[in-house]
Amino acid sequence: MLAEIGYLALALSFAASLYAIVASVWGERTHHEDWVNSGRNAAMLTFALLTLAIGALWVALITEQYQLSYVWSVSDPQTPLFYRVTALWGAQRGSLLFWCWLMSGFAFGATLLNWRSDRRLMPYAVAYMMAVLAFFVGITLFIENPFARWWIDPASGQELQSVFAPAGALAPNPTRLAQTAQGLNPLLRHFGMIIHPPMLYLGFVGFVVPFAFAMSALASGDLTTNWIKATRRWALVAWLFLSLGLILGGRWAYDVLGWGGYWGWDPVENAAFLPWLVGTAFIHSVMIQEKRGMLKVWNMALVILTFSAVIFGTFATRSGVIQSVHSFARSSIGLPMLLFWAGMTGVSVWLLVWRWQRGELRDEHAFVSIFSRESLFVLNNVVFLALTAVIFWGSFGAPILSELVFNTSITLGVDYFMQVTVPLFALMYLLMGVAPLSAWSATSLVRLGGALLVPLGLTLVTVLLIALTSPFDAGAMLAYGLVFLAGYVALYETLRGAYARVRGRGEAWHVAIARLFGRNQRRYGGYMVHLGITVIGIGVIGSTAFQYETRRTLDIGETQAITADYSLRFDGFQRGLSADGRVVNVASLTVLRNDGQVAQIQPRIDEYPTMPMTIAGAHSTLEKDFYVLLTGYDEAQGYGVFKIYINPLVNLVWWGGLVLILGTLLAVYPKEIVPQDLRERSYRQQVAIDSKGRKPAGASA
Amino acid sequence: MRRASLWLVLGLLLCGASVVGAQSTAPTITLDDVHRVAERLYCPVCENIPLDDCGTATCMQWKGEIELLLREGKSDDEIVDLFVAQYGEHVVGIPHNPTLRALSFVPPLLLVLGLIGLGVLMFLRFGRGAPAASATAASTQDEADAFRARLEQDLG
Repeated sequence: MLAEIGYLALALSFAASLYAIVASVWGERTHHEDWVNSGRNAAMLTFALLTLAIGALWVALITEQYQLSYVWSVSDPQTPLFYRVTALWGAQRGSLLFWCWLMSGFAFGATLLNWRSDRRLMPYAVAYMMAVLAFFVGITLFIENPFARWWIDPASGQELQSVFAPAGALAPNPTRLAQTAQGLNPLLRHFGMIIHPPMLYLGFVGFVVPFAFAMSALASGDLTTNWIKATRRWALVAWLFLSLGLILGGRWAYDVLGWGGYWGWDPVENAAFLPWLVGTAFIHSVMIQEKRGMLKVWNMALVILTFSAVIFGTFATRSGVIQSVHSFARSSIGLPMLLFWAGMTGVSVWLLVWRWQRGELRDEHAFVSIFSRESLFVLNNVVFLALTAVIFWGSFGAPILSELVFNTSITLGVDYFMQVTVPLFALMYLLMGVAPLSAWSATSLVRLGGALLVPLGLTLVTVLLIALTSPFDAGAMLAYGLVFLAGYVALYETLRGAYARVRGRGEAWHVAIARLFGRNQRRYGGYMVHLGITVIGIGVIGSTAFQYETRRTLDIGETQAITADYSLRFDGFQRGLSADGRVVNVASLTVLRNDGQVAQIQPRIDEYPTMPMTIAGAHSTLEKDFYVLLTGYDEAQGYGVFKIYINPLVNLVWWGGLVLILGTLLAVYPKEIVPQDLRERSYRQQVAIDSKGRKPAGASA
Repeated sequence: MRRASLWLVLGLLLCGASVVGAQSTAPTITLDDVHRVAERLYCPVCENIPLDDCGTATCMQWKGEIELLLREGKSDDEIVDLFVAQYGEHVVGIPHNPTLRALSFVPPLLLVLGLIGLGVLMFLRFGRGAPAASATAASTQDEADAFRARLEQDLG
């Protein structure tokens, strides 16, 4: 029954999304208000229908309906309830349905919240959002259906997968199905996996809203900043989720993948990073259009590129075009996705070029000074795009081209990415430090230099202190300098604003800061995000440039010096069977610092029937992580083999992520600029004006 | 005779010492030495996983091979070259073959240069072609106030 309900809801949502496209476009083109409203209602209905479909699958997972082949492939009777819930996104079919549901949720929210304020853009925006949704629901329905069930053909004894029973087929024995169920991929049995994929998916699908509004602006001819104003918060929300997804993904890798790091430059990690980079360029660039009416073509190109990167990232993850630890889900959806990606990008670029050639995207102002904020923002965009280009090339371009042209497979690893990205990241931090101090329109070098004086002085003092207190590394010191400069500028600008209030209005410091943030959430939220990126940068430099790594074999009871101040004692080893069927091998170790005991840690190897998992034991402080992996053991001989990492400042990566999130939330937090009653009056008047050129409601459809 | 005997004993002692010395300089290979080489190689089975972090049987065997080669006195570079010659370019993070190396680095460099050119072009083009800039830009708050006032006026 659950399969029928889910399938029907999925099929209806596909039909509703197609109907929404036709009704919206037709209504807009023929000025039929009823058709437009009908398209909107159909678009909103898709969310309800997909909620029903996803609900059916969740119930099937929780109630152990193993006849559904998806449930059978991602759970078994030993799977705890917690992982049954997260198994929804544990493999291709479920995660595609989940993706569709999230996208329909965004479309629902954007339609509901923007309908009145952005009435002119809405019909085409709905059509675009539904076109993307229809594609994803379509491939879920026709290629990767999560409601397919196991059947047995009595004649041949063959097992078949189909939603509905093939002629004469019988349902398999439920007990047998439960006994053979595969269970969840061990890599996904981690707390981080509850949040990481949904956050990443939310980030990915969230960019459909700015993309749809931009395309609507191109299609409708409303090429003012309306589409940017309508979608600024949506873009920031998508960016926030994408950032969260990347940070949580890094944390999951650090905890579960067992290699002592959080970013391996894996192609699928990179595929998620690409939309973040282009999206960041877009978020900065739209400010120039809002403030100065410039870069209209550029912003359109960036939003197209961002969404294109989202679809490409999805294609790369799910098609298996590049193999990696993430490509858990390979199927026949590769070609349709590639065609959709090419088609969507092609149509969008064609629309943009068409409007551009008609001269409708002309800028309102010119660049005056190379040191003006808009010029530096353009340079910032160039850096983000350059990062996108080199990462894309290393992850996909070069390996694919090498295979096609030279018939040789190559791997571009960490060495490549460190060589090509580090100079660009350095430039990014430099611009983060300089651009906020430059003024819009005209800025002289002298003025900019004067504004930089205090943050630069603080930076030099800080770097000098670091150089005196830690091992000297010229590259790392330069990197610290650039990162600290960006942070000090953000802090200095905030404190300068607060000081002006303290001095001018006699406010207390905390009141001044709170009111400053309240008055211009976007600017100070942005500074907070910069501060978060600075803290992340400090963590990345510390944990990369000063990481210490060693391998040791220890007998039980033996203590070995690891560094001048750290020692490690191997206390014992235990082996047991856990409730979910895995064999757990745990080593007990004592971490000593200057001969004093500081922590007891338990690295372990979990043996699942399909694969082993190496889970680290770590003594974690803000200063550093003492991170140990158990890589081998011999119970009979009484020794264990360990990989030991000392990761300085690694926790700043997570704390910086938190600051970044808080800053984005501050920038996104809704603030009423035009009161509700005024907006209502505006909407009524707009509808009245629009209806002059439209057929009255109820005249058709 | 006594003097000759002393020289003989000294000579034997030196020989013995040299043998002990030779034995003590025979390479002692630690796990860290193996790791130093293994982190420069990639798993041949699981793509994009560094050899050092991979637990497959093949990778374990390769690490054993690295240890043997280190014992034989091969340098890190020689071992990496041997693996590339034997298993192909995909076992290293940057190809050794000059053509493939160029394929890896030249296009991104050109892309970056192209983007910089695009930035310069934008500055020059929009600096010349567009109308002159106003001296100051309105703040967000001013813009909002102006919008609100205009809306009030329009709505009567």
